[in-house]
Amino acid sequence: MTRRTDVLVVGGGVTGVGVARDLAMRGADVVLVERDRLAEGTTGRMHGLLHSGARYAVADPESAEQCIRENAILRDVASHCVEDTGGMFVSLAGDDQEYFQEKLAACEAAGIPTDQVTPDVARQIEPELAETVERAFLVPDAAIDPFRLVAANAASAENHGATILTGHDVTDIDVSGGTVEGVTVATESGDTEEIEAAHVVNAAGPWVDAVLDGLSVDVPVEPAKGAMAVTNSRPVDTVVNRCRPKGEGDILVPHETTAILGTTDEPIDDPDDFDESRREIEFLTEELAEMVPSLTDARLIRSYWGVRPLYDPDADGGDSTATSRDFAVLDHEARDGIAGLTTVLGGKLTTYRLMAERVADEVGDKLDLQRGCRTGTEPLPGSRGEVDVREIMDRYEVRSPVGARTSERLGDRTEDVLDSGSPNPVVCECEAVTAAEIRDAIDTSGPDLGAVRMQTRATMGTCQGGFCSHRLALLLPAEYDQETVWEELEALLAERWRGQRFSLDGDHLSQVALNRALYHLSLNVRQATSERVDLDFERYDGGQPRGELSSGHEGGSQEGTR
Amino acid sequence: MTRRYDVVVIGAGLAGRMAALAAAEEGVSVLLVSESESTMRSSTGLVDLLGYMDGRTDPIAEPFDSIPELPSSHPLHNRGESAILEAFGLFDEAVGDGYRGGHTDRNGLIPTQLGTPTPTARYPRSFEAGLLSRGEEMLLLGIEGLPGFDGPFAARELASYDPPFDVSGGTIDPFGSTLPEQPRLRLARALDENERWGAGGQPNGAQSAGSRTRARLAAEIERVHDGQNRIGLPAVLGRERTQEIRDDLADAVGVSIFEYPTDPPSLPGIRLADRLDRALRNRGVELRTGMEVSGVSIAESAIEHLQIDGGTRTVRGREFVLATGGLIGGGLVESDGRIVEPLLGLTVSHPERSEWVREDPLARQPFATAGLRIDQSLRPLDSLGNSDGRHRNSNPQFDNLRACGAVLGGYDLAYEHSAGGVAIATGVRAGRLAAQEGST
Repeated sequence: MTRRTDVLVVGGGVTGVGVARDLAMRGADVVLVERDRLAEGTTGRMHGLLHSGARYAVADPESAEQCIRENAILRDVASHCVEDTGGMFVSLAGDDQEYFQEKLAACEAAGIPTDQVTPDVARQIEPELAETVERAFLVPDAAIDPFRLVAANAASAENHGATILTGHDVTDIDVSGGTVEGVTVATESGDTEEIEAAHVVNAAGPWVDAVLDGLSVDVPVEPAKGAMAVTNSRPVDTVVNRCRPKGEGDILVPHETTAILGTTDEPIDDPDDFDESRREIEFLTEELAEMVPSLTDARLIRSYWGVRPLYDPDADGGDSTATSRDFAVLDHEARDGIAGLTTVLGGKLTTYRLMAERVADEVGDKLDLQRGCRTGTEPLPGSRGEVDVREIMDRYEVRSPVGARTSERLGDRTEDVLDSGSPNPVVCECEAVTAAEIRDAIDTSGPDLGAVRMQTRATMGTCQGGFCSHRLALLLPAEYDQETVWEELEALLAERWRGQRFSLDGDHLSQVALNRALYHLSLNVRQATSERVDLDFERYDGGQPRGELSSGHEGGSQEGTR
Repeated sequence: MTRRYDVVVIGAGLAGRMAALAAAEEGVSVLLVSESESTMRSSTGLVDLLGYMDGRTDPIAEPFDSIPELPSSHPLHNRGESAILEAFGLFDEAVGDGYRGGHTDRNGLIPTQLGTPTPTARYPRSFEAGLLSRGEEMLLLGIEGLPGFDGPFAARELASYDPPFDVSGGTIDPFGSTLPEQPRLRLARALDENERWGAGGQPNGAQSAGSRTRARLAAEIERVHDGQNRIGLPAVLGRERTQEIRDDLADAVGVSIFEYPTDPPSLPGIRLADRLDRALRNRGVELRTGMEVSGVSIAESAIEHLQIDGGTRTVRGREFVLATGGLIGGGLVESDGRIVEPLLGLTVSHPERSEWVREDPLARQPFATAGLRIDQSLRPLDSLGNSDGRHRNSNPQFDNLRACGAVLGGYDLAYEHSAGGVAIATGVRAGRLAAQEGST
């Protein structure tokens, strides 16, 4: 049976799920396909910053204005994804002081509230700041959890009738007589499926041109990689930005129990195949330690790279319906003579909702949808109202700070998730994630432990899953066979391992050594995941030769001196 | 003038304790100092010798057949079968009736909490009835509320290896809907003391008239027991009265009760440390925990004394044994891209940092082979010598210092399942050589 839909969205990042949600809320029939899992690409590899816009105020005022507007909207409609850390721009001795004044003025012009503070006050707010801080001002930056944001958008889209298909890779966009008829997808199980659609939205981020492969169209996307590193603690509770024009190694974002060091910006050719080096991580530490000297001795638990889908308008001949220098909505009918196809590229997580709105406006016109955009006012699932943490904790006997962390992640869904009736032990101790939350994530994401990790933060703390990866795997219900459980556990261990290969410093190398000992010596995971061989049990020790074991217990002994 | 010990052992893991025991057996005065409680308390309580070799995926059944195949840089390579057996004999004597496996040179297979078979040379007595080479039908139980223990999963996993018995799994629920803090350790204590349980489903000492913990657990086991001859539980059956608890449960249920090993916190690891402490005290070894060695004073090429707590106190000795552990125990640490020995600044052999890890997390990892190179009498060498391990141009860094256990290089204890073998074989030899030198 061929699936049919009004709109097919390609890409399960924040833009794709945002488009799917917006169009579904306008009444369209929507299918979203994602080749891997949700938030696996650019979205899940961002630095966790909800921009105030101050970062762009001088160079790109239009983006800055979009950011501050969207910042305010997301604090409201996605409140359970946002931590209101506030942000600070600091200027160090030797930095260009004229630029500092220019930045302040540009923020004002863009409508971004600022509050200049003395270096002493800045250090009262963030005691780890360097003595060399000479000027500082506060802005409404915040921390945002991209996984939670994507999960909430996807859940809302589904609630409005959309279908989300992960593990579905678009191999062809099917075009006939200059009009898109649908797509052909390859599923993880190796099957091919055709999905008919009146309109296809290409929201594949750095992979937009790969999706268009086979059509003779050219999109002006320039992938650029950015490196990030994660510390096991929060040296700052405020987003700290370096106030200077150069854009690398200048931002430190507190994120849950950790902090994220960002970032770099380097063009690459292939978003699936680029170099990642220790040197980039060392650069981040060195640069950011100028603002926060204690980072020199901070414990890095992880490093990762994201790829931005940068939009280059100058390469685009000006014939797009670009709404911003920062992002573009390309109508391939006007542009390339292919009707029923829209590509969205560029942008940033902070403005995902606005991008989705623009795409949905355009698609809605073509499909003659009557309803307009409601995503600016309709809260996402999890963000509908205040949660009485203490009351819920008492009711479900969840101990602080576990309960507080749980409700931060789940927002207004906390009560539903905890109301399971069985004991609810903490599974991931670093991030205070309980079994009920893991089960809830498995319910919504299926057996994909990577998706469970993103949704719950389990395995993402100091020990990087050393103590809890197997516990997650065992929470997969019995309907999944042994092979699936082991594949998931192996994939989770491999993913965590990869992220730690440039974090083998000091205490963290000790942690990695301990984790290995657990997985080999306590759990002997290798025996299950290596090629199965017949074990000749008779060759091994069968115990001391003595009387019948099954006759009962072994009689008294002196074990245990009192 | 403070007392001068014949032998001072630094580090109280398995290697350090065995070194101290071996030295004490020679009749000399021995001091065992450690900075903190040993990582032994997080270990499974299994004591392995050699469980896996490269190029084969099945666990080794006869470790002494494989030890000669180890590379010459491996700490077990030149130890010799009789020396290893003798060292294990000293371990067997120290742990007494609490451990099994000494009757054979073969490895036994024990089920992990995930149901995977794992090889070991020695195992706690409470694990014996769980040996996978016995024929009796098995029931593996998990405990509701303890994450990581799923009896049915472990049983399905174990069955997939086609063992010589039927295996099934189940779940018991001694807690009800309310979990105490640290449920594993709390349950162990409640079993040791056989506490009464309150109406809220919590152990609460003798304050209530509720049922006793052991009876409560036995009733839960009987609820799911279906004729199997032996029943495995996570190793939570007390810290001190394990055998008594097993006997009580076996009496009530009518079949053998065994334990299987757990991830930390590990009761069998704690029990092993307790047992070795008793053996050490019985042999007159002085134990001091919480002593941070901050430096050493050296005269010519020998260590004179250890500086304790920033140099405010000293410990004097004739001979010293370094048993401070590897990367896990803190005897080796990473510093600026190198792996160093932080206490004495000894020369550490390790691969280039760019080569430290392989892509597969479960593979042998190059960084794990980092450690000291030693001469035939276990004295750390001052340079790395030739790659063939013969150390032509190397000399002992100190005349009166020997090293043993995980601080040694040339092996991957996790991948090989060889931590216990190296700790015992090198620990006993280091302790004995130190005692012989120290008494002359």
